[in-house]
Amino acid sequence: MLTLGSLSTTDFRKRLLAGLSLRVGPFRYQLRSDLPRVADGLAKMYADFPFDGGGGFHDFHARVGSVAGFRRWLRPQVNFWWDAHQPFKPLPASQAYALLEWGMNWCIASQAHHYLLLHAAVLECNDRCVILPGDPGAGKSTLTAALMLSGWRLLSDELTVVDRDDGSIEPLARPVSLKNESIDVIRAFDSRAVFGETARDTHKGTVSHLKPTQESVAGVGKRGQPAHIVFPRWQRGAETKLSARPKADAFMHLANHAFNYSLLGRLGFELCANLVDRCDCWDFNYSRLEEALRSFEQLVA
Amino acid sequence: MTPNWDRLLLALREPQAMTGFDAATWDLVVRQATAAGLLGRLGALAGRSGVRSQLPTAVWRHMQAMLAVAEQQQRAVQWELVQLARDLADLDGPVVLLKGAAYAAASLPPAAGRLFSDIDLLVPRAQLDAAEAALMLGGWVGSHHSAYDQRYYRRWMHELPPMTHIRRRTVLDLHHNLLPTSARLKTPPEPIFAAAKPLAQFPRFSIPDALDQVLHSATHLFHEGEWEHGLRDLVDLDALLRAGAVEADYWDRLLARAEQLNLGKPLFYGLRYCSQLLETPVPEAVIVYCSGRPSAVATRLMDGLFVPAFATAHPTCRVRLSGIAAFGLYVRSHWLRMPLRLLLPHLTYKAWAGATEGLRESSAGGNNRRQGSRASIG
Amino acid sequence: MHSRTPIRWSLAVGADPEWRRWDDEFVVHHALANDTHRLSAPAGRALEYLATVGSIDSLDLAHACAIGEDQASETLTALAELGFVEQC
Repeated sequence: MLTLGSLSTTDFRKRLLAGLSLRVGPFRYQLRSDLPRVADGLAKMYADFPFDGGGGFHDFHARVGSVAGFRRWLRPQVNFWWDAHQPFKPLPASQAYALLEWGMNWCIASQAHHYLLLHAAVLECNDRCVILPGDPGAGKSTLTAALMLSGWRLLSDELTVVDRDDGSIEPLARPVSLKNESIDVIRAFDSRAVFGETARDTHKGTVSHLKPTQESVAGVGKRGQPAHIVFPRWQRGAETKLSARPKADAFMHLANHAFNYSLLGRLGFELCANLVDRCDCWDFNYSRLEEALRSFEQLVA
Repeated sequence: MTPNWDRLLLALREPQAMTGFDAATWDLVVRQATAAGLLGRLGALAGRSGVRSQLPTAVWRHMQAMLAVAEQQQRAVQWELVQLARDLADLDGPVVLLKGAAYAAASLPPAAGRLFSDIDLLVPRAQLDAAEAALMLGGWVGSHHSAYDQRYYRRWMHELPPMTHIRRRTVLDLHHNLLPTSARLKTPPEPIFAAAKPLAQFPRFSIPDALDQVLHSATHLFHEGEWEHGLRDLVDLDALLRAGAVEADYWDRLLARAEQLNLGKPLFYGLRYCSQLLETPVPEAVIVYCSGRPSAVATRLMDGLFVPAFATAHPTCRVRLSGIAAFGLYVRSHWLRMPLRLLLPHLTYKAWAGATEGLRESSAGGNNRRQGSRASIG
Repeated sequence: MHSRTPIRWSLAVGADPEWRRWDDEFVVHHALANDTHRLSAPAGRALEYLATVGSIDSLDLAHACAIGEDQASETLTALAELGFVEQC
C-alpha cells in the first residue's frame, strides 16, 4: 500500500499546492497550502497514512496560507480557511503547522454531528478503550503521548468520536499536540519519538506535535470499545492514585466536555449516559509518569 | 444564471435529481448548500422524496448533522415562545410571530431543515413601549445604547434595536411594521393584525394569514439586504407559494392583498425570481398583473443585481458582482456551541464567528450549559 | 378545624423528563428546555414516582423517601422552578 511517506518532497508540495486528499478516520479532508513548513509538517506527521489519489467527495476543504498585507514581510502571518471562510484571527507564520492541526480539529468539532464529539483523548489496550476528558493543565496530553509510545493504540488525542448507534469509538490517529514541558518530558521518555516543528512564542508557550505510532495508524477503521473514563490530574509531588468517581458527577463533567451535547438534545443526553453506564469512572492523580503508566496497565489487565 | 450553482438549484427544485449527482458534484453542492444555509433543507427534501438511502453515506451524514442542528433550534424557538408567552401574558393586544419564529411555531412549509436565529415579533405601535417594558422585566436587554442609535431606531425603523435575553442569550426583534418608516414604500400594518390567526399551541401568539406570510417574506427579502440569506429566503418564499397554490383563487387573492398592502413591487420580484430560479409554478399572468410592478428597464437592471446577489453564498457560485461583492460571504454558523476555548486555547475567534454567533444561535433555556449541579435539591 | 392540604404536583407539559440513576444520584434531561440537571435522591424519586402515578404531594414524597415533609415540599417547589413539575 502506498503511503504519504513514499512521496518525494517535491511531489508532496505540488500536491498540497493543488489540493491534497487526506483520509482521517471516517473523514476525508482536502488540504491546501503553499507554505513549505506546512507541507513538510504534514509529510512527516502523516507519513504512515495511506496515499489518497484525490477527486470525489471531501468532508472538509481546509487551507492554511499567508495573509496578505504589509505585515507580509515585517511579521508574516498565516490563517486557516475552512472552505471560503476564516473562523480565526491570523497567527504568526511560525505557527502555520499547528494552525492546520487546530483547524482540522475545528472542522470535526463544529460539524460532525453525526457523532457525539468529546473533548477527550482516547487510547486502547487489550481491546479496552480508556477515555481521558481534557481539563486544561491536567496533563492529559503528556499521559496520552507516553501511553501511545508505550504500546497503547492511539485513537485520538483531542477529539473522541463516538458512534451514535453502538457507542463505539472511531479512531483518527492524528498527531498528538504537546506544549511546553510536556515536549521535553516526552523526548526524554522515548528517544524514538518523532516530533514536528516546534512553534515558540504562541501566547500559551511552545507547541509541537508528535507523530502517531505506526500501530495506531494501522488501527484506523477498527473501532474501539470504551471501558473506562479517567479524569486525570497532574499535581507536583502527588501520590499516584486512582479512585472511583461517582457516576452522576462523571456524567455532568463528561457532558461539559462534549462539543455537541446540547446540539444533539435528548440524543446527547442518552449517548453520554450510555457511555457512563458502560464505563468505570475514575479520578486519577499523579506526578510520576512511570507510575501513572503502570496504573493504566493494571486498569486494563 | 451561471452554470456553477445549477446543481444546487436543481436539487432544490427536483430532489430526485440528487440521485444522479456524482461525488465531484456533491463536493461542490454540499459546500454551496452549507454556505447558503440550505443543507438541512436538502436533507429534509431527500427524506421526503424517499431518496435518502440513495445518497452517498458521507453526504447524508452532513445533511443529518445539519438536520440535527435545525431540529434543536426549532425546539429552542418553541421553548423560547413558552417563556415569552409568560413575559407578555399581561400585554394588551395581539403579538404576531414573523418569519422563522412563525415557521417554527406552526410547522409551516419553510420550517423543514431550516436554521433559525432571531425571534421576530410584531406588535401594534401603540403597544410598543408596553411590550418593551414587559420584555425587560422578563430579562431581555436592549442593545445599541447610544442615544443616537435609540433615536434612529425609534424614529425611522420599523423595529426596535435587537434585544438579547440575559441568561438564555437568544436575540429578539420587536417590530411595529413590516417596513421602516423611512422607506419609500409605505405599507399599513393594521390589515396584518386584522387577518392574523392565533396559534392553538401558543395562544398568546398569532401568525400572519398565509397571504401575508408570502408578502412579508417577499418584502423582507427585497428590502433587508441580507444577501447571504438571499437564496434561503427565496426558498422559504417558494415553499409558501407552492403550499398556497393548491387553494382555489389563490393567485387572485394574493394579487388583491398585495395591492391592499401596497406590496405589489416586492411581490413582483419575489414571484419573478422564484419562478426563474426555483421554477415555482406561478402563472405568467400573475406576474404581469402585479400592482406597482416596475418598468421593463428597471426590471432588467434589477435582474443584473439580484440574480448574482443570490449567488453570493459561495465563491463557486459567484460571477463578477461589481459592487455587490461587499455583501458578506458567510451564512452565520449556527452550530458553534461548544467549549472550543478548551480545544483551541491559542486561537482568538473573530468577533462574528465567536461571541456574537454563539449568542445568536444559543438554544433556549440557557441552562443548556449543563452545569446544573443541583445536588442541593431535596 | 382547617387542615393544610398539600399542593398536588404532576409532570409539567413538555418536560418529558428522561433520567438515569447511579447509586443515589440522578441526572435528568428536560426535553423542551434541553436542560440537564443533577438531582439528589428525593428529587429523582419524585420523578420516578410521577412516572407511574399521575400526581404527587409532599406527604407522598416524604413517606416514599423517609424525609421530613418540609424538605419534601421544598424539593417539589424546586422541581417546579426547573420546569419538571407543575401544580395540578
